[in-house]
Amino acid sequence: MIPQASVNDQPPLLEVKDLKVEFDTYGGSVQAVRGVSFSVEAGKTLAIVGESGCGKSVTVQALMGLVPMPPGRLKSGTATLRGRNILGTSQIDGQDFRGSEIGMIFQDPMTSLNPTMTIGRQIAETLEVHRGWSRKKAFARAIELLEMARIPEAEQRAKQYPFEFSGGMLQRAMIAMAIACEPAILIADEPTTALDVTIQAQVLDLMGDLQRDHGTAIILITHDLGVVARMADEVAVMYAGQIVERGSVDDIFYRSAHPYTVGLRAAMPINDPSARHRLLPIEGSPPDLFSPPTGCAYAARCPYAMKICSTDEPSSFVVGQDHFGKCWLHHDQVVDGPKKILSGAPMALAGVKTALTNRPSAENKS
Amino acid sequence: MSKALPLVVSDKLTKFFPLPKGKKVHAVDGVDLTIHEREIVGLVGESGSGKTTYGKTLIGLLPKTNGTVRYRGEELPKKYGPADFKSQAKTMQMIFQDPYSSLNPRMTVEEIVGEGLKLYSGQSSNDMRDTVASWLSRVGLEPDYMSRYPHEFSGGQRQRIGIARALILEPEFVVCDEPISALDVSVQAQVVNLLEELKQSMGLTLLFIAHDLSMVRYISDRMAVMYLGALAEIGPAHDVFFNPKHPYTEILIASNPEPDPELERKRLSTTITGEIPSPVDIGAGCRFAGRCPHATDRCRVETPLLKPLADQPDRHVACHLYS
Repeated sequence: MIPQASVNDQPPLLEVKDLKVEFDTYGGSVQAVRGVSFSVEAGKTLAIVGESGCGKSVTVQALMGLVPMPPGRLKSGTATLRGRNILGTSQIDGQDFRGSEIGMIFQDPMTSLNPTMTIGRQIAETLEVHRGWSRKKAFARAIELLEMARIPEAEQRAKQYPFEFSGGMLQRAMIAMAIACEPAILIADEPTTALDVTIQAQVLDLMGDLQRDHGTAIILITHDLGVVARMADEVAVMYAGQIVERGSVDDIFYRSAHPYTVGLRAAMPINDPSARHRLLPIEGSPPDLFSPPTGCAYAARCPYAMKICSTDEPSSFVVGQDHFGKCWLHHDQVVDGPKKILSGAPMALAGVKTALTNRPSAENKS
Repeated sequence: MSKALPLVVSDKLTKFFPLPKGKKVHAVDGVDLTIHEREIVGLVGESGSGKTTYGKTLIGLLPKTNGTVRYRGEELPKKYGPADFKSQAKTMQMIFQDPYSSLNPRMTVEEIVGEGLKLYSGQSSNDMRDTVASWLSRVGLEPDYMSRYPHEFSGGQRQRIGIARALILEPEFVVCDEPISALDVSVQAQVVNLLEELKQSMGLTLLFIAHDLSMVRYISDRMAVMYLGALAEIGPAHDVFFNPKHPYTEILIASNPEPDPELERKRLSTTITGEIPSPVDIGAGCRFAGRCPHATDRCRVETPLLKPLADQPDRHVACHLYS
């Protein structure tokens, strides 16, 4: 079920297969990630979308070795970076790949940086550790990186502490740190959730520009479908520890192959000036991952659930090129299954192309 | 909307917080806003723009520094005493942002939701229990949950408890302070629909504070945009969203990512440089002048007033471009 990204024999930049992560708690073991597979290509952005508790953060934390074990446990799966294993280890050929090959930025910049070190030192440390640079050389580079992250007066700012920065600037400083060693992959775990829309736009633009200039692959974890539409090339929709749909960003938004994806779209307001629609919430709440349901995890909330949905787990049906939907409605024996899925949100999926045509665009930044 | 009576009118409402050395935070600085009966006014702005402080000052949770609030024509006290809270609790309530910290973890749902009744209604405890049960089912919770504690509920369920608590005294006016920002997308829609239903059935008037522009456009009749303690623009939500006038509103709405990849690909980059300035030292001139792409010398010396547009009298903009 893993799409082969390229026709040549090169392994994908990052390939994750059947990743399963559990957490032992007093109440039993929580199956946070239940068999996740995806691959990432250079220069592309994969967005992993889902609601809180769906396992999207745990997935990337497991790749980076950031899941505390115990209580966490890798139950199965493989993850390879250019064909070399990275799961359960922090090193490739004796080199820590974290920070050098894969950089990561976190949701809350206030708590992710060391409050007792200057911003410049924290960035420089990355270069000292991974590249063995001298303090002076690394600090000079840190200033350049801050400039690249569009921090004004970078030279003075580098000598300041995190508390002297605003949230948006801290997030940009964290990006500067994550890209210090020019990693092949940048993992961004809800990078803009704590920020205002104007600052969010600045941070997303910065990530997009860096990707264009350096060919970095980005794994973007978010619950905001607007951010997905803006940034993603590929999208994986997660629900209850599994990827329920995977495809290109257009597949996900215009040819959704899973009722959950459609449900998310229909629950959001559509900014179409000609339409007045009502939000369609997804009733109920996600299943308890202590004992995930047999069958499809979404069945209890799904408006199209059939008998088989509560007894047998659906496989990933191929619904288009590199487009998969984990839903029984794609089975040959279901009449008009895919049509049914799309009918869940007629408003959401009808074209909203007119919406922004009369929207003024403010002054371009340089 | 035109025939509706004004319910809450704030006139030059001002709230400063003192700092050492005689400085002060200009959290809310002279806001004029009229909210009509049965209307939903959405209030948007970046964090630190004074939205929450405005809501709290409006219903008396914070004493006013200056300015007045009139409710049905009657001026409310500058600083509420216990008697004022008692009389206002039945007409004005608030729903808070964070469903995790706004419910007392040591009280049961019955105590939380019923507290207003206990203090202000004089019902017998049996009647109170019945009222609480009926409100729980009205907001979509099982009445059997009454004896449970907040930690046993999900975020969406807690927000429903907060809504039941605010509405049990059947107020006329409710300030909803970011009631959905802490919730997941699918649950946001549940809570927004619930608020709309209750608004219809109870004839509520709402001030809906949020930073999610799409959701505010969806739920509100009118939208007000706040920047650094002052209103930049107010008008029918649809018009403000699709045809913003104030440069700040334009940038705010242009920064709002749309869940539609084709639109996003077409969109020009609209990044605004800089960040919201400190509300401590506010000089003369337009508050937005430092970040505004259209700022002129006049903007830096003369503060623009919120004035109706010549061709659209229901829209007000505080910008020299339109005067």
